Amino acid sequence: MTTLIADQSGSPRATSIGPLIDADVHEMIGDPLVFLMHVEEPYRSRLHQDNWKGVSLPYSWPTTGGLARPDAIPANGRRAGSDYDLMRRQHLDAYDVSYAVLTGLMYPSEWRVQPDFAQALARAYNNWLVAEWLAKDPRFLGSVHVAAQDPLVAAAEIDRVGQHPQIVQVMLPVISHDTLGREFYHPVYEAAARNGLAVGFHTGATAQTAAGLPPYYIEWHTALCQAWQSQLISLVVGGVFNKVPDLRIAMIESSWTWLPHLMWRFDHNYRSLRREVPWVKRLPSEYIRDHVKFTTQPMEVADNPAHMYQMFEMVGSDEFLMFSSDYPHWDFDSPEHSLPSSFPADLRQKIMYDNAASFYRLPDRTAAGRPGTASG
Amino acid sequence: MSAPEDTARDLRHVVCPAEELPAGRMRAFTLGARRILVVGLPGGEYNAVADFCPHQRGPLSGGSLERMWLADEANNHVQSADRWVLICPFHNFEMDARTGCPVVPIGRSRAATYPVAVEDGQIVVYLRKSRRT
Repeated sequence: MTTLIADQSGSPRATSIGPLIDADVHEMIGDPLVFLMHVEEPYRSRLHQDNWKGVSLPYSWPTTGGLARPDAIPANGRRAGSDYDLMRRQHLDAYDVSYAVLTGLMYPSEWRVQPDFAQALARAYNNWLVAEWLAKDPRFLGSVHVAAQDPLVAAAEIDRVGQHPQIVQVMLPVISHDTLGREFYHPVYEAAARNGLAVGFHTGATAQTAAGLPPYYIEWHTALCQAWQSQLISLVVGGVFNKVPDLRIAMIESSWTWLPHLMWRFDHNYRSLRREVPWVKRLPSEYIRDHVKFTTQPMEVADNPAHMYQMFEMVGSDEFLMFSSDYPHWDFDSPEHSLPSSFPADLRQKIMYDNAASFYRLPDRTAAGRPGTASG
Repeated sequence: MSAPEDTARDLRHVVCPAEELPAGRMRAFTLGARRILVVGLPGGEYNAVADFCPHQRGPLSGGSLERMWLADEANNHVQSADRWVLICPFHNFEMDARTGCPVVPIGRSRAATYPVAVEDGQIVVYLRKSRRT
C-alpha cells in the first residue's frame, strides 16, 4: 500500500509502510494544572514545586533534545509528547498509524515510599489519560497505571478502568529492587487477565544495570536490557503463567536480540535446577513463546543485515515481535526504516501490524477490514 | 558378583544380593565392557540403566537417586509418591530412574535401560549380547 502523507511541515510524501500499529508511544503531562485536576486530596495539595519533585533518572542526556527529539517539543515549550495536535500531525497522521499504544512514563510501581501517594497518582493518571488522550482520538490505546507495591489496590484500579474500550494493557516498570513475577504480585496479573488486558513492561526512572548505575549514560542505556531479562525470568519462575493461563506480556523497549541467548540459557538451567522450582511445568522458552511479545525499538544495526534475520529465526516464532517507534523520544525508530533490510515482506506485515493486532485483540483497521472494502 | 552366564540371547549377570540394595539406593557395576547402574525402588522393584548421562556422559552413579520434586503452586514442594529420578553429578540433569529418559528432554537422547530381575534373592541384569559385551 502506498499512501500520500504529510510530514511535520505539511509537505506530502509517499510511504509504503502499509497498515501500522505502534506499540510504544509516550504521552506526557504538559500542563501540570490540568493533571492536578485529576488528583484527589490530600495528595493534590502535596504537588507543588517545593514539595514533590517526582522520580527521575539521575543522568543528563547527552542528546540533542534531552529525553526527546527536539523537533517533538511543542511550541509552548512543554514536554515532548504532551501536545496531541503535534503528535497527531508529526506521528499518527504522518505514518498513517492505525493504532498507537500509549505507554506513558510515570510508573508509580517504582516509587519506594508513600504507597498511598503512589496509588493516588496512579488513579489520577488513569483519569487524566482517559479524559485528555483516549477521548481525543480513537487510534489511541491506553495503559492502566498502577502502584503494584500494593497488588490488591493495583488490582482494584485495574478493575476500575480496565473495561474502558480503549484500554488494552497494564503498565509495570522494570524495577531493580524487586522481581515482579513473585507470587506477591500475582493479583496484578490476575486482574489484567480478567479484564482482557495485556501487561506491558517498560523502563521507568529507577531501573539499573546488573552493576547498578554506571558512570555514563551510554553504559546504563546499553546494559539496561538486563532489567527486562530479570523480570522475564521472574515471570516464568514465579509460576504466573501456570496460574494465569491467559496472561499476555509485552516487553516494551527491551530490545529483543538477546532473547535466543536467554531462552537457551534458561532452558539449560531448567534442566539442571528444575527441582528448585517444580511448579514451573514446561521449558521456560515455551512459556516465553506462548505468552510474551517484544517490541522492535530500539532496533540494533548489524554489519550484516542477514544476521538480524538469523537472530529473529533463532527465537522460533514469527509472532513475537511488534513494531514500536518510542515516539517522541530521542531514540525514535522510523516506521519506514526500522526493520532490517533482510526481513521478508510477509514478515514485515506481521511485525508492523498483525502481531500487535492479535496480541492486543484489536478490530481490523487494515484496508481488508474496512466495511465495504472488497478483499482478495 | 559372579561371571556372566551366556544364554541364547543375553548375558546373564548376577550382580548382588537384593538385600544389599534397599529402596532408594543405587550401585554401579562393570558388566563386561559396560557400566550399569542398578537402582532399588520401593516394593522390591529394581531397574538397570546405563551409568552415563545422555547429556555429557557424566556417571549417574556419582550423583543421587531421589523421589522427583513436584509442586502444584509456587513455593509448595512435594516429592512424588512413585516417580524416582537420577541426578547427574555433572549438571544435575534429572533422568527418570525407570525409563532413563531425561525429565526435561534433551533432544531424543536417553540413558539405555536393561532387563533386571530378582532370582533366588539375587539381582540379575540381562545384557543383550553384542560385540561390546
